[in-house]
Amino acid sequence: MTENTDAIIVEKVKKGDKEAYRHLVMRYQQKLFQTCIGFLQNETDAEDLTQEIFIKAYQKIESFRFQAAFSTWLYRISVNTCVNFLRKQKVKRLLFLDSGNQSKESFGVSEPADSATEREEQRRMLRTALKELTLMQRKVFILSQYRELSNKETAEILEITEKAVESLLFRARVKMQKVIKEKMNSNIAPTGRYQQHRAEPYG
Amino acid sequence: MNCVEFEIQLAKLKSGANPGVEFLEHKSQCPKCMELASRADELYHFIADDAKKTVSPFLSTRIMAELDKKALEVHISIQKAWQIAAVSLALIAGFNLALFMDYRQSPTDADSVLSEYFFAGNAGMEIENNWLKLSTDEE
Ligand SMILES: [Zn+2]
Repeated sequence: MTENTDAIIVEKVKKGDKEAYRHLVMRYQQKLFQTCIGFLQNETDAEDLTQEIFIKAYQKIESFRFQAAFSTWLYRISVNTCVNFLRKQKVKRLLFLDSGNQSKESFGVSEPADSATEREEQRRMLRTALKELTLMQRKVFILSQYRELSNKETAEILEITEKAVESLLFRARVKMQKVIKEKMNSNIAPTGRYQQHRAEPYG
Repeated sequence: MNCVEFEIQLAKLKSGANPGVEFLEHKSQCPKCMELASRADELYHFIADDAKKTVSPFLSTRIMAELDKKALEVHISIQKAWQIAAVSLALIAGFNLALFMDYRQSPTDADSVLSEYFFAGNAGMEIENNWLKLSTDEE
């Protein structure tokens, strides 16, 4: 049903009805935002990138030939844009243009101190774990965990087989557990659950 | 079930799925695996919470405004391109017209004398010499 209405709206947009595009934005902005959060681990950047993705998709809409669902096409653009963004960030850090300290980003509205520290610790661990993943494992993990897409949907977006998605997801989760185990072994401080670690840049 | 098998099973486990008796037994007997499972669960809950974050209600307005801005920029650049093209065409047309008119126009006496002066050896020199002579004589 959604695919059909998407197709109708896309046709309208292709014919120059820019206002029709608003419906697609409203329909997919939350989903793309979640995907971006997964990749970037930063709410502000995720929102900016969501905007960039929609603008890119609008500019490219003429090239959309209905060979896949519009949502699949949009997710492909999102994944590529996020990966490119992370690459650029990495280059920036290498060139010492950016400190890369993302620990104090705009995640979470004012939380109690303990809860905020715990979340920060979780965030740090998640970033470390994501860094351990290969690019393909990361893509699969984020689409599956942040978007809760099925293996079939993820396979379509990444243009790989469902079996490959299953395998990549398994390996990603094994790596996540490895990072958790490392933290368990090294971070038990005498005064608390975790020692405080310096935030590592993610990307 | 040993710890390695437990970890493999944990990595395969889908949220809400039944892990099986062996898994649960090992978990209750092995403190390390129990902690691992608990922390993995915490991490996946953290991700789920993260994914629940809602986008700003103004994002769609921002996107549409940005599209309008871009469309305007394109419109202006197209307009500018047309203006440049029109001016260039006018210049080329003007230049060609000038050449054409120049070609069509019959040469004046002055032009004839000038071209004769420049291209025909010492033609006209006689006039000049006579004039020079006259002016000398007058002195
Ligand atoms: Zn065990």
